Amino acid sequence: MKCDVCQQVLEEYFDGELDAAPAAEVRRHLGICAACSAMLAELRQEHELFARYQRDVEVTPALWAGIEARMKAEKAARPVAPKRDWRSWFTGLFTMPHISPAFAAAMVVLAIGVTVVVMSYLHSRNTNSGNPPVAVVPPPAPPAPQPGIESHPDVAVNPNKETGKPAVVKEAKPPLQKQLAVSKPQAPPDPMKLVREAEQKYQAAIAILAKDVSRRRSQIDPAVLARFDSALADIDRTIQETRQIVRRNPDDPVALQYLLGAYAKKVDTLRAMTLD
Amino acid sequence: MTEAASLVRVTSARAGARMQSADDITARARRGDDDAFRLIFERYSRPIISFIYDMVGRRDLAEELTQETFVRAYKNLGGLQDDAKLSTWLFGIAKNVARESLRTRQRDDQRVEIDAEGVFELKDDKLPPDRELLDKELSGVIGAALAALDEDKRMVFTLKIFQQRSYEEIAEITGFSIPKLKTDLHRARAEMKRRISPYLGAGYEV
Repeated sequence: MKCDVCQQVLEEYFDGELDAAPAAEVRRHLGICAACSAMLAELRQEHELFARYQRDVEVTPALWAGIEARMKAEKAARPVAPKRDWRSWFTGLFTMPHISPAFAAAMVVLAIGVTVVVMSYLHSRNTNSGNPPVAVVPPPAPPAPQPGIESHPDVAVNPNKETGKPAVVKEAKPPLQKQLAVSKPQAPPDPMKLVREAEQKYQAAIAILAKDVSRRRSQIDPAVLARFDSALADIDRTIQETRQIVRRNPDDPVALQYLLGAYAKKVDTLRAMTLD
Repeated sequence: MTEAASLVRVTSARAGARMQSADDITARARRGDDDAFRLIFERYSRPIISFIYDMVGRRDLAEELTQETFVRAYKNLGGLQDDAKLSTWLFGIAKNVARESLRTRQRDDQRVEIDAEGVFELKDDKLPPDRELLDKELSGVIGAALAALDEDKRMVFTLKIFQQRSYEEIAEITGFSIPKLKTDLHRARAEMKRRISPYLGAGYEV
């Protein structure tokens, strides 16, 4: 063995990380080479100095006391089998551990559906600010339908000026926000209720995915896990902040968009980990 | 059988019993036995707090992050699949906790500083101090040198030199490849050597 080869692996040899055969070669070379032996001695001396490093830190009884208090809080926060009504039973279905991430994905689709409805509704309310919902106050009589022009979707039956008989108008599928308004003309949906529903669906999906990730934590590359934890903490902060804004401004579609967007991001992040 | 051989045999048997009980303790802790978790804390708190201290360089923060490490371990014990890897697993959590803290501090534009009281400048005309003073001074120099390393090198160096982890364990804890951690360790050793070089000469040996 030549000196340059020996010196390349000298630290590994010192650390006990070389396999038996190359370690034996290094040992033979050290026996006949003063320069390489001196390098090994220097390495040993460095380590003797490092072994004398004294840290200004120690394990105190207060440290365990703090951990114990948090363990108790954690135990107290763990849910005990609650009395369930039909609603919580239904929600519970989505948080059961045997449900797969694929099912969580389905929940997300549902949540996105609700999100679209809420967004559309709020958007329509904003654009018609000051105007009552279309279905609540009948619009002025629209002109007779022209060939090639689609009739107003809100009015299914349009009285014919000449005959006085109702003219059957081609029934078009109304836009989403108008469906919403038409379906419950007397009670326009409470946006906060819809937001809560969307949140619940996201949370149900997140719980399923989080459980799956939690099971796999020890198999995940620690560096990836660190990035994942950090990203999740950021997203949780965003959710918390935007939720507060939405609570203060329930009619603000932008705030809502950010909140549900943050939920969607969390789902994506968790899903990426389950697919990893 | 010689007395020495007999002693070795007894010691090995005791060590074996300890190892077995460590796995058993982990299993008990996983089943919700808090006393068993306390035993885990007693066994690993010192290396964990040392590692975190070396990473973040502040005593108060090291205590806080050690607490966070053990609380996370407690919450996620169910995720530990191989009881024999408890120690590596705990170091992995400690690494994550320390890294998150360092990221937050970087965002707050703070710098890693070591709580080294009395980091003395070595002067050529200074006489070799006595052992206690020298150790205090040397510790200050080592602490400052550690703080000057970049995060990856500091982590690898600490795990190898102070925690005596194998390359394979370091790779598991950090997520680094073996070639990367070898390179980082080599560079960290070179930087640390340069900084402690005044102590390597004759007269400072113990």
